[in-house]
Amino acid sequence: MQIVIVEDEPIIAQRLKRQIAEILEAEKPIIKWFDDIEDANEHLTQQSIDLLILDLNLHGENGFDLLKDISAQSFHTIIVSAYSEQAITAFEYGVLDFVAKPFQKERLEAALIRFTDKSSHASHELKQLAVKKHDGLSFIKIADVSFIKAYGHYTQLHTNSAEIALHDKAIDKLAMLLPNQFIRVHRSYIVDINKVVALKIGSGASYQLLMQDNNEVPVSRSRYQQIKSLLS
Amino acid sequence: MKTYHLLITFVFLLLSAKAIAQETRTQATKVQASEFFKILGEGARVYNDTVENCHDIHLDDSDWPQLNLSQISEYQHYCIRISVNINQNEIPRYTVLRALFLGSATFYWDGKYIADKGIPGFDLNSELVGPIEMSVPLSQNELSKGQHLLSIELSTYSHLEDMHTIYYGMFLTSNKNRQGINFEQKIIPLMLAGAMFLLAVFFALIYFLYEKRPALIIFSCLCLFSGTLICLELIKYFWNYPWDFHILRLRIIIANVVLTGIALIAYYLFYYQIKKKLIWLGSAILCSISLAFLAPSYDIKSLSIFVLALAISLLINVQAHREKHPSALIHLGILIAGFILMVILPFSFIDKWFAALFSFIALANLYHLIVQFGQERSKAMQSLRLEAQMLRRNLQPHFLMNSLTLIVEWVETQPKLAVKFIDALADEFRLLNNMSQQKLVPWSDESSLCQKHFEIMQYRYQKKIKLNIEVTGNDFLIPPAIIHTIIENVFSHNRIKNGDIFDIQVNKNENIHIRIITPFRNKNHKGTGIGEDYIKTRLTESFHHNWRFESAAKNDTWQTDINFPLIKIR
Repeated sequence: MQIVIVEDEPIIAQRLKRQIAEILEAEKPIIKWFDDIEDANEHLTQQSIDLLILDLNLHGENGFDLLKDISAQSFHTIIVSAYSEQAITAFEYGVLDFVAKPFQKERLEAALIRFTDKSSHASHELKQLAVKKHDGLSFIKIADVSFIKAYGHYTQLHTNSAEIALHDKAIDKLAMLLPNQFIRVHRSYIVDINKVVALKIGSGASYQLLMQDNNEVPVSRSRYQQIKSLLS
Repeated sequence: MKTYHLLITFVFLLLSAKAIAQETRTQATKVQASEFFKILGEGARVYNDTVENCHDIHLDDSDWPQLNLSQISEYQHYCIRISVNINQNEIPRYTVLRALFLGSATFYWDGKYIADKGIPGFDLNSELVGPIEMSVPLSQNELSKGQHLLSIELSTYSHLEDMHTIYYGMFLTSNKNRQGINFEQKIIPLMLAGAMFLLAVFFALIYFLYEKRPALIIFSCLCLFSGTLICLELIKYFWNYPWDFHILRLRIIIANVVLTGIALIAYYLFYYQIKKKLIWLGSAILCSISLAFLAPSYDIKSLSIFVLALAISLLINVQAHREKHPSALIHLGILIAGFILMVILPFSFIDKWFAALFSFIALANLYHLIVQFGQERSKAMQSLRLEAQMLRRNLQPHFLMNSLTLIVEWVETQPKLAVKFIDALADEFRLLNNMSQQKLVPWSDESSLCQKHFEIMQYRYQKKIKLNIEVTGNDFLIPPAIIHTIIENVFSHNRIKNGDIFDIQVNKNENIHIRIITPFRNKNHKGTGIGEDYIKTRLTESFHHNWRFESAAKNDTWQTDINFPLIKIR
């Protein structure tokens, strides 16, 4: 397991490193520390990692810049910062958790458990999701999202409007951030269960969900029973 | 500010126009409005010596010289015989004979005694001084159609000095009309005098109770002098004083005009903080006094002194305007308007309108004062804001929470180090707190604050870095936490590496020059924002505009230069 810590104060980085190593002992993590965004960015483009521990104020530079710069985030991010008022923004960037400084080991452990436990759901009520566009960041309201489709390392957010937004997290990672009404119905699909109109049986024993926006979303056979009971 | 300038100038121009209009109208209507008005004195036969039967209607005066009465002079005894031709059938009732001159006289109409104005004599001792103006009603009988004789025995011994004109006029006029003119002439100057005294008291109170600024008390004096001047001019309407007092009154007026002119100049000198005040004032006093002695007549004396005072004031204002003094323009406008007014109505200006000029200067002054009150209030608010800003900086999440995290870590792993770090933090907070309510602190305090902060940052970043402070003498004052702000900015905006050096060099002569050279690695970062704003506001608070702050990248370092005047610790 590859973990990167980006923190400009060595003592705090040391504390993070020690506590993460203790908490994730079983995973035998390899932990790298950078005190600068530039160096961290260079590392992240060359090497794939599993978890990023990020401070938000690095010598006056904004830690969010790192999240903006990196495309196709195949990793989860946990923010460890003094600026607790930034938590909401952090979640919009799709981070897994926000740990406020000064922190105790128990709090860090809770965040790391959310990382290791794949079935866990977001503790925080996510309202928006940051989407990168050629002209910068924009935000999609979670309430507007009807269903989500895997798209390589990315995901497509299908909203009530015709436009399809591209989010830079893989569907597995994104699933962990979404509120409870978002249900995985297929290897490549997540739907907002409240926006389902009907469950249809198509030809060749295939199943589809008819959404409010008239789109049809496939349901995998293995998940059919579970979806049916949820809808009834 | 701009609209206010325009407004005052506009109102002033409006009033000036009204003044001019009114002046020309009263001149035009003076005669016309009067039901009966006849100037006496034309073709007067004047005998410059004692004449036994001066009032005898049968006396043959045809060989006497005909003299314009304005030529009668001091220290003389005259017999004046004026033949008055009434060519009107009916003269209005209450028609009076009025005579205004500096001399004692007895008046006879057709050989009959009608009035006196003191008792004429043959020398200073036998002459009895009467009022300056004589007014006696004549019956309609006496003013019947035809030739009449007005004979006057006149002496002019009680003069203090040789004046050029001592005769002001003699005429027949209807009584009612005279009162009407007087009321109109009295009311405006009276109001202005009241306003001047009120302003004098107001500005004196401001000076004594609020702020001991010389310009305020000088302005109070200016108002007092101009109020007195108006009153001295007005005396003639209320008090028919003895004619020998007239010269004294004129002298007092001239002294007052000199005082007013000097006060006006002094006011502007102090108001704009012009350099070399004594030279300006000295030469102004010298010129005014020499004008007061050398100018030919009293009217010319006061006019020339006024012109001088206005001209010098204009000069001062032009200079102040060049030095970009914000309120110079409005004063310049008022003075120019006053100047124009003076050229158009030279004598009536001195009588009445110069007081209006001062009212406007006072108005500009009041405005300035109110603006100042506002500024002082916002200054007080600003120092509160600066204090809060300074204290809050160390309560910033980045500083505070990271420090607390450090403490948590060391409490768990190296408690002794935690204690040391907490001590250092406590020291910095204490220093900041002691400084927070002061506008200037000793350099030694600022220096220890910087060192303390540096020590804390060394703990936090665990780097081998160095702070060099070179200083010659500790005995000067500096606004609190400005160097501290710079040091703090370097840490929060730059990546600090082993071997980095922070250099602070202080040069002390009549100015303090501080150069701070710090590491610079953040190429994206543009300004120091809030930090720089704090430093500049603090410098302005203590040194107005008399400081310099320059901050720029120099190769791989960031160089900050701060200059401000030396204030020694008492």
